[in-house]
Amino acid sequence: MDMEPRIRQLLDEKLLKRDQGPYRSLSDADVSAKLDRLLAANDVRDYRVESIGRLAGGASKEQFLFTLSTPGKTEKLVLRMDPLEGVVETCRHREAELIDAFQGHVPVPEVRFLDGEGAHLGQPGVVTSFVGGVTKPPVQSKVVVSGVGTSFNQEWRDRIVPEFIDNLARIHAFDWRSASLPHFQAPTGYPTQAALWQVNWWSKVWHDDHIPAYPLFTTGERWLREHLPSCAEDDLVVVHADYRTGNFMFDAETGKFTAILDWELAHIGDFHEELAWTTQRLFAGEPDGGKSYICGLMTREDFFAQYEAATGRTINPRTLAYYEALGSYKCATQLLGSSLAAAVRQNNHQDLLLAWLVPLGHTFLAEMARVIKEEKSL
Amino acid sequence: MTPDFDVRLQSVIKALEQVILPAVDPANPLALEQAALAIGHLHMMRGQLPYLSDYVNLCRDEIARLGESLTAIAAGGAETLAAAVALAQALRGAADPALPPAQGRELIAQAVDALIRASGVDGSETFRDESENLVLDYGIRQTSRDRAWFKASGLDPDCAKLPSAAEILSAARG
Repeated sequence: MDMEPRIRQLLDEKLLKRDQGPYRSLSDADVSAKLDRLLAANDVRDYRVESIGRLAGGASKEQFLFTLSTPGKTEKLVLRMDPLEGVVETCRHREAELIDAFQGHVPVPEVRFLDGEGAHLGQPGVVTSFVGGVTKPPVQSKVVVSGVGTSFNQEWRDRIVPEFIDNLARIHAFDWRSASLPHFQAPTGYPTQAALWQVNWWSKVWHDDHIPAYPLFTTGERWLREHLPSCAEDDLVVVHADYRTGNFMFDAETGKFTAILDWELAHIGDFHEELAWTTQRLFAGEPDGGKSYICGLMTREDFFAQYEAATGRTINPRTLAYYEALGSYKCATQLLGSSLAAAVRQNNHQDLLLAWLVPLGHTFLAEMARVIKEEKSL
Repeated sequence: MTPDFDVRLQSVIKALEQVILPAVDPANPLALEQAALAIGHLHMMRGQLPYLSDYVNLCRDEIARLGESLTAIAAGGAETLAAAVALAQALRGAADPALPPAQGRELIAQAVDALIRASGVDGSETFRDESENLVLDYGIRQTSRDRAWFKASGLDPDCAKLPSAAEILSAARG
């Protein structure tokens, strides 16, 4: 099965480690001891680790905020660690490489320490700088999980939209061919390879993780394999793969972006994949004045028009529809497959949250079926 | 049976909401989030419990109807026909009253999956196309029901438009 080699390796390794559970959430003392080992391995001396606190949210990774003091310097840092199983299985090497590569291109944190194989932390992890900012407007009464359902009023939309488009255009303009990204490979072998790598990635996840059988997954996978779109080499970009409200931070006064987060799913692929993901209905906030806004920010039509204007690219509606179906298949897999499996095996720090989110997989399956039906009728 | 599940769940929810949640350290956001989620799960389960048995039966019956439709039109080479025979056996097995309905549903779903995969190997073109339509139509109906079943989570973007569990079951009875 043709798949990006690092992804295949990660998924194969997951099969071995998931039987080590059940996973127990880390205490502050556990985190402190793990950080001691990581810092010692990085020759950090005369330090103090203080104020360890767990960050809420983060259904994918276990996240902690802490303060590291060394002679003459005190810094707030963020530790992101893999649980045994979660919503997605991703690579800390890749995440760190991209954060490093995008310094100076878009706002990102800085990588301080990396333990890509978990030699010191016990599980793979990365420590980054802490970036100030907010992920939702200062006045947001509705409780949201992982940014899903965040709404902005017009004043905030006016501030955020230009940043949202500009940063996306910068990510897609990034020259990945010249960058140092040793844990990545590009799907340049043949025109449909970008799409096939994604289908093979997520169908392997479904086959490995699913517990109950769902014929809609099987039919969806077959349709995706039979309708692979081609991608010209110029249309291959770094796809952030989760570019949406909740995964960028902004200044609470100006709306200027302070950081783009959650690069764990990023890969080199077709730019349509990003647009299809970002415009998923689940990520839209509540309709405002009868209008639905993607990521709570702008209409789909505005988003596509502004994206085309900012990048000079032309969106192919059939390719976009394909990636809408694929994006829904992928989300449904993450929820009804991986999240359910992690909760059943109790291999996550947030089994309860995962069990809460799993039913959303039905919503994504419905979206996938709707898109396929529409495409079949054309 | 006394006290029943409903009153026990109601009591647990009340204790969590009125005693335990207010005692959680406000500086521990994960604990607050988990407590709120625990209460949310219990509310949803309490709402589903009276309909659970009927809903599981409905899910089994609906996939059985899909299976029957597929076996009736299966056409192609040896793999497809063998998978159709296996699906027919699964349908008979799932109809055994001794088999819990959730297991019956799973037995049929696995056999349908196997038939779809087999038809990709040597199914006739007509069967491939018709089976795809049947599974998509079934999938749209089933996902509508499943979304409605979990509407109390408030996560579905169409939450306000989704029917209640009672309405789903009433519609299924015709």
